[in-house]
Amino acid sequence: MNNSFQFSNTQSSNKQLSVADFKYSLESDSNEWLKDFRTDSYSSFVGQPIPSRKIEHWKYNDTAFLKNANFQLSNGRINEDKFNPSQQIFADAITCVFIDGCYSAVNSNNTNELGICITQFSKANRQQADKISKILNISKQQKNSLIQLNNALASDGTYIEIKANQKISKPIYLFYVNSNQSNNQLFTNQLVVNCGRGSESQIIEHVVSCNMNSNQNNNLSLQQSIINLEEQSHCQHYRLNLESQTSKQVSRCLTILASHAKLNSFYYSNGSLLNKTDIDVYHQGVSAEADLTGIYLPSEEQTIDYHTNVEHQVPHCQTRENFRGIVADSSKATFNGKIHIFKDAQKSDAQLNNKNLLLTNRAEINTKPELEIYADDVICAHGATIAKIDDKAIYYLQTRGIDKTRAKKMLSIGFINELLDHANNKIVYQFLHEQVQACLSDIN
Amino acid sequence: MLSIKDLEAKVEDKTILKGLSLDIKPGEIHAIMGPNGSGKSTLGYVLSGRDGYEVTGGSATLNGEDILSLDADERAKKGLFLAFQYPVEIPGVSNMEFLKASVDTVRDYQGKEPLDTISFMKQAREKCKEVNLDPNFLKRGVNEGFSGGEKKRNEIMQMMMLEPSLCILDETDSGLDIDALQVVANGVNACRDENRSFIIVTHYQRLLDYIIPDKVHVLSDGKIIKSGGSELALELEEKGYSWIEKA
Repeated sequence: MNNSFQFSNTQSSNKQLSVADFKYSLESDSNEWLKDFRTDSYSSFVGQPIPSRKIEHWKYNDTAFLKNANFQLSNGRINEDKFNPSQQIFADAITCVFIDGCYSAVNSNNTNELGICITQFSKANRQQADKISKILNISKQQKNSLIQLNNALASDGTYIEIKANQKISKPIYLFYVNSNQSNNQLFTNQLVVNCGRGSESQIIEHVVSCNMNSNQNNNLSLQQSIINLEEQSHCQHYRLNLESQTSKQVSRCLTILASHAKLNSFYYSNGSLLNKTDIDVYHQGVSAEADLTGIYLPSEEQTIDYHTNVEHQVPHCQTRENFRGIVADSSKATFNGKIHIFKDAQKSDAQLNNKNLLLTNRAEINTKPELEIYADDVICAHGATIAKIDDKAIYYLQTRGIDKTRAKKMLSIGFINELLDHANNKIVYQFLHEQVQACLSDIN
Repeated sequence: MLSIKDLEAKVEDKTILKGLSLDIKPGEIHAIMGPNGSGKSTLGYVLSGRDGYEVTGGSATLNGEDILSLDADERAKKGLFLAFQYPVEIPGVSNMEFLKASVDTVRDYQGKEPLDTISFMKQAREKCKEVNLDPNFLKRGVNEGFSGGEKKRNEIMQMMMLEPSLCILDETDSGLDIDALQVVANGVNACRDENRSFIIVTHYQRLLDYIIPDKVHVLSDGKIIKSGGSELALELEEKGYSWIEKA
């Protein structure tokens, strides 16, 4: 079996990808049923220009690293021994470990729990393959060409099936580790979760780097996660990005909600030279509810970018979206939050809010809340603020004996704490609480 | 206790205090009244050390020590307390966490025994009761969603916990109904002792029915233009300020 793609490059052998100039061929021996999706994704990818500031979606990102880059396509051979599980936050969970984008069975745990089925695309049965194809097809429509590249390249993927009416008490913990063992690598990953009718689950995606101090990292990680919520299912989803300061990650999370489905989604990000996450939520069944929370804490030279797109395709759905960031040093954050109410989506109820604190005059935040409304009987609100820490509040704390530095710290943490309360999982909450404290400890 | 001499201060190039002098002995209560814009709130801000309020002349000492060169938090540690006219709302920081940080810092500075969490909680709940605040307020964000009266009572509650030597109450009575006014007054009276002094800034004589001041001063255009006993407040209530200002 040869599961690879050939990229030709003027100077070097196969499996080299020059983003500026590449050719692509799809070998016939990959998962046959996945081929159409990958071919389509590839066509979309080559049909689009290379990401640069000229493209709206990438306007605030530094994409210089893509120019003349020679990414080696990860060959799927990973060194599983070097993996150090100490960064994992769950001891007792259904754990799937991915090293450099590849599923590592030996490091995964409890994957045979009752009510849940975890399989690789390559081992999926006919019925599962049909389901995966159907879900992947919904994911085709999107703007990010690097995600299209991911979808073209990912020759395999992970499928998690939560059976109908099952309440999975253990969290489903997806631990992605960037090993930093090699350089100039391109990692891809495809995840599809199907939450069966009436099921309840918690999905925690945790992205880390193995060697946090490595500064010789020119790797690029691409990823797509799709969660499909069938009727009346309920999913608590977390995506925690805590990578090394040199890592670059471009990912997309798509959630599809059927009628009466309920989603709580929580995003947290610090670290990374570039962390770009596209979040899409499609309300496809009536009376679905989505609650999205996001916290971003870039510092030094980092860039964090969240593009959210919530589509109310049908009537009576509800969205609550709250994102907050504290932008320190010379770092940058972008929040682009769009809520799109389709023509027939009457009685939609959507609220979007984004608040930012700028800690220095070198820090940069670009925020753009957008409402696109084609129905006439809806409740929608959106707002965004950018501010510095309130002088009056600092003074108030000072008059109570708390010095300025500590006051700033307390106020910053307080600003984030308000959203941290949305993290219902106690372990995640505790973990993030400590992360936030540590992350904001240098404020002065 | 507090000695202010010829204090001059400006905000953004506008001189507000123009040579204000005031002496307060331990245990005394001084009321400061005066028309709008006379500099009453500015006096509180200047004494407590708010950024942007620049002292251009004169001096102020607390227990013999110069306070004007100190940061706001250092003045608080030395026993100065300002109850705000408009207390600030701080969502995300709980009253409990805030108060504990404040009390710990101040006690530590003053060399007092630190309060362990249990005795701190016990005391905080007791003080809440004294000012008629539901102890559940301690769990909420600082002043978050509090009514005007609740915010003022919270200020008094903080004052009780911090045990300051000089308390400045900046129009704590404004916006309060009669019941809340009494609660605040009772709180202040309960804190009175021979080593604690108060400056009560107010527009109305009403509060002084409940808290009897030792002295009343009239502030006008950045200076004290008349001082007297508690009967002066009654006279002001009756005649207004213009008769003094014209004199």
